Amino acid sequence: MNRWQKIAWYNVFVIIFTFILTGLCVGVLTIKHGMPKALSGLGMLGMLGLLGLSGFIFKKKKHNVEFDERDRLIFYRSIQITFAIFWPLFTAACMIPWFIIGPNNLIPINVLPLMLVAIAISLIAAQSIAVLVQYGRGEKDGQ
Amino acid sequence: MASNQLSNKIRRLRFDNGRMTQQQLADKADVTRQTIIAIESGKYTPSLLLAFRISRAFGLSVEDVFQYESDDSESGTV
Repeated sequence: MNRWQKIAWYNVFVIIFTFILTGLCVGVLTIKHGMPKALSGLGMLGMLGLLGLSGFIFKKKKHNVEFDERDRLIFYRSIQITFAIFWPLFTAACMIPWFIIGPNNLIPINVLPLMLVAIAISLIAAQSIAVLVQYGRGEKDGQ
Repeated sequence: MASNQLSNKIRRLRFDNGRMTQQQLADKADVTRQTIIAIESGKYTPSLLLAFRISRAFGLSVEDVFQYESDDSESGTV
């Protein structure tokens, strides 16, 4: 397993772990204190900040080839896949509130950063999964 | 419709060249061992530059290391 696969696995693990932890917190707080206060459990989403540590945890080894042409091809393809996922997500984030709430109504300001975080995390997860699938399958060049 | 296949003799050549390891070949070709594994198993088609580097590592020409088989139904001769 090379450094990029390890980083991708780490990203997927952190995202899944954070969402499970957040769900548990919100669930427990809902039972104990009811819904409005239970939303404070969403603070556990801050664990997603661990994603930024991947570069420090999985350091580049000296005197080794870390990123050759195949790695570059896989990386570019994962970016393409992530970009292809971005547009439906972005469109859904814009249009779903439009249809559900209506164009003349208001949403709490807290919803906006949550939507942005959700999109960003979805893209990181999509890129990580694309990287892992391609390394696992051994993509044929040009196919 | 033509189906193209690129096969190689890298594994055989490694053993014939003093049982060269995949890591040693990767170091000579300036790529990762995973890439050599993927090329040997036919799961990755190297670029022209990499094909030349691998061939140079064995001291052979590209055609001696990689074989291109075209299953073209229309044979074109000039």
